[in-house]
Amino acid sequence: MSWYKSALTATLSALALGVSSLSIAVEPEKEELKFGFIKLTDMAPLAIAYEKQFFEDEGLYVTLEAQANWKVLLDRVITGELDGAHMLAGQPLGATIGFGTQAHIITAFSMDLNGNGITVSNSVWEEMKPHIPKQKDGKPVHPIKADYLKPVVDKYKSEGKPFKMGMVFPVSTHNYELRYWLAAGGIHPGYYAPAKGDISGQINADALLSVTPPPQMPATMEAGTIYGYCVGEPWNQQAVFKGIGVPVITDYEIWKNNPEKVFGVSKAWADKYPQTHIAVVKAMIRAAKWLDDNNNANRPEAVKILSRSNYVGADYDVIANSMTGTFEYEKGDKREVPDFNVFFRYNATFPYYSDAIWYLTQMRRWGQIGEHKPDSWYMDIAKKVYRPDIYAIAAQELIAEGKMKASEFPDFTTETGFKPPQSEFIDGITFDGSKPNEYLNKFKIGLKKGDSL
Amino acid sequence: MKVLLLDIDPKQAEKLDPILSWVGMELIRLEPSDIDLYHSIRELNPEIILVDTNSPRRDTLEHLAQLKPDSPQTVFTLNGDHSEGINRLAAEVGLSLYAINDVRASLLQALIDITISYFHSIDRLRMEVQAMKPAVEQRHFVNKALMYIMDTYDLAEDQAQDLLNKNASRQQRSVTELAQQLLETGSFV
Repeated sequence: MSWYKSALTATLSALALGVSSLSIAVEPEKEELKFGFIKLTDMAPLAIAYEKQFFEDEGLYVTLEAQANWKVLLDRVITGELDGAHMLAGQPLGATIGFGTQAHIITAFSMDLNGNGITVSNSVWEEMKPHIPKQKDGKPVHPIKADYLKPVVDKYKSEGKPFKMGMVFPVSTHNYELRYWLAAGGIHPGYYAPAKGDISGQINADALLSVTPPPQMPATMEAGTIYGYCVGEPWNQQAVFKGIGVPVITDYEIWKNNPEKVFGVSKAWADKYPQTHIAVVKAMIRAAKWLDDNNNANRPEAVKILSRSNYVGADYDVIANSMTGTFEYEKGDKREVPDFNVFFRYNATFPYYSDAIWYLTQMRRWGQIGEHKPDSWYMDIAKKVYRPDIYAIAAQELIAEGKMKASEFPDFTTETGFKPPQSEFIDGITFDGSKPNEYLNKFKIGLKKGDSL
Repeated sequence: MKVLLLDIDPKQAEKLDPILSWVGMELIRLEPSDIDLYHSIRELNPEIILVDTNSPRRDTLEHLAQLKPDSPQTVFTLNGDHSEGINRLAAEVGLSLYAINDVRASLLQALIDITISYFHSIDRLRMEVQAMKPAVEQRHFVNKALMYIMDTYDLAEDQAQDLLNKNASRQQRSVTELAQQLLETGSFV
């Protein structure tokens, strides 16, 4: 690749800086990079960094390659076939603690907030609907709690039919969100039992959760194999378009502004190519900002890009339904959800330790982490995997280069990496990232200190 | 020992067939329409699963492995050692391997090695066959043309060959080319 081009970029940015500062971009050690992604709308920061040439601005020549499943995506990051990838937030954490696959993966960039939904089949919706309170105009009051699904689940149970629902991966956000919503409504989603022999797996379950690849969710529900699912877009809106199901709740309503995907790389890669890593994070921060700029003004253009077959490859209208600030629940019941997908505002891209700790608490809550761990363990793992220090260097370079303003970032001199306690969960329980065990004790359903499986 | 082939395209499966039956493994296949993998795997109880590396259903296998520790697990290392064979199996053959914990690592290593070398040798054979094909075809044209000349001009085979060679060299064309033209047009020119 043209070395002179990246040298030129470096020189230009140095000139723009004048005589300043420590934060001059250094040339990346590796220029040609290949990143993996899964065909979901929240891969957008990668597509935009590529299409808007933010990668090239950093002297990087990037190839983006769609991956067929989360497992192969992680394996390829571990073996080095991919330099990095769009990952489920639970993947770097799960891999680092050795749940599923063992490897040290880190993240210095959070890709988005929110963006998922829970959809049920038409027949389940018809059974739920009489229990749901109505607004004056006859439409259901939102958010819809799982309390209204419970009578349906109980009925299925009394008939000896397990209530089956789909999600996308054992350590996926979707698994934890679906479990959170169900449990908040008194529906037990079952525990994992990594240490034990043959127990039918989903111990104590009222609802049986299974993994289905996202694009196959609507068809699997239509076939009657599952009665509902939790998935990212465009697969909830697809159910509305096809008339086969009704999204009942978005994850924004389960936990306001919850962290979603991350950009993961292997620790070994990050150690070998530190400047490259910083350059990648810089490009992606700019892409995220572009996606949220002027109140989502660029979103229609983003949707056009994402609808191409090399990215998400779904119809413009289906993607636009959620990406442009609305969300359609029951057919015709389209409501404003401007924060359905957030890429930059509210410090969406900053990798908070407290985000990591929330995921770890859910892994423990449901038995993926088999035994009690002290609070210090949660801190240690979070610091091993989430790297706000690398993010801060990237952000400061962008500020020094005049591409971004300091006000667009957390104040790095005082930022601890812990969000203040958050209480906007569907069950009203407050999460304080510095007290994971205290948090776990608050749940009616879920493993606690004395419990092991 | 039961081996399940999952989402492997028929051509690949055809190649795997003999290997697995030579070593006495029982082959089970799932139809792509068999949508409930949880049910199928519970019913079939495979000890080894070979799956297309790019199958979206690998994520389901991961979940199954975590729900039930006695179901087939991703083979990531052999006896705790990193195995280059596993990566090669994925990168060169496009297959990923899952096995229950009881299956011995040496057996898995052998299965990986045999599969990789068999796939390579089949591919090499196929290339050699491909390379041979034009020569065989050319010979076929020349033979047919000779028959035609012998019939039309009532000549013996060596005379027919001679006639074809002389015409070809006079026109500065190859014998095969001329033979082909003769068959298509019935004329030497």
